[in-house]
Amino acid sequence: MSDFRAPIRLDGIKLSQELVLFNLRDLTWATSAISKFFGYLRDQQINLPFLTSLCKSGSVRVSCCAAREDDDRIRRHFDDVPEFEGKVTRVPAVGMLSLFPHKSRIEMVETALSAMAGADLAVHGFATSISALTLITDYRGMDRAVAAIKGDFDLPRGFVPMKPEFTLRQRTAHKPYP
Amino acid sequence: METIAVYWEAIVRIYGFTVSSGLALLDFRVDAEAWNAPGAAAAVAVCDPMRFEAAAGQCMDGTGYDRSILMSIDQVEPMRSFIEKRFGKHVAEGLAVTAPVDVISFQGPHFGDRFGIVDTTFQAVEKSGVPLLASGFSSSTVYLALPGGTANRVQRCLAEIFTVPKSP
Repeated sequence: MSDFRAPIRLDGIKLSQELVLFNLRDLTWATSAISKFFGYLRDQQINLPFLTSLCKSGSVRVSCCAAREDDDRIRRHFDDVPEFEGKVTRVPAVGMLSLFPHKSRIEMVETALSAMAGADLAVHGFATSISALTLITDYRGMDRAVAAIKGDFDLPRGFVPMKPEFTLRQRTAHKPYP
Repeated sequence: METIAVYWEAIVRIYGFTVSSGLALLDFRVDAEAWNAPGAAAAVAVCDPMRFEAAAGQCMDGTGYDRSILMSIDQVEPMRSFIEKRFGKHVAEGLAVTAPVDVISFQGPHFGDRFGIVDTTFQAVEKSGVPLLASGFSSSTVYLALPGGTANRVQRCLAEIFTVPKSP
């Protein structure tokens, strides 16, 4: 770690359960496929704990995560909709690593990304929320990711990352699948 | 053990809308070579403090990142300079700036744990007729980047399906 600046202080790191990442590209908002996809997720009661979208020159890219248990249903939907052919890539076995707080500081984001790159850890996507920076990385590398982050940030003494002890799921009274 | 809680919510509750105007959306691509270039990490250590409204990155094909940052317009040039130091001139030259941009953000309880938030939000934006430049859904927070001057129109449509409970 450089001597140029004191390490940035973090209060904690939160880890997710295992997820699957889908990248959709070369679509447009006018394409019915996108709205049908999100409508399908709603009808199937599938949650997306993470999503980013960017529209450049009319072409939309969406990157989103879902729980591992929802992987098969989502893949079947993409297989059934011709408009998605050749436009979807899937990255299995990923997880979310959320660091907080970011305090809206660019140098915090860049330091985290550099720490991951320095440890040769993949970052499949990232986004900020009001107080956290969430990185999508390989699920099996999450412990190494925590170690990499600890090396470049100042964390509380005795820090232990928060791991999910239970899962919250929203359901209607009727399940759409067996 | 499974715990089940049942509640009815006709309109999704949120903590409030935050609207920021007059921002800039920066987007640029960092290829794998630039990411690992010598000095890339060192540039971070001497980065001047800069603040962002929201930041995101997508790795569509495993060969690099497409990054987007929402920040105030007066930070665009310092950010461009930092990008050049960190990733090289060719990345900085590819920086695209869209301005002015409005951002609507909101969050609600357990947004990251419940289905339908993305579909509900995108339907409202579509109804407004305003093109969505970028969005982020992470840790119970939703960010929507829109062309400058359009936030109110989008917020009206969002307010039809998201509500801020009033205190008794």
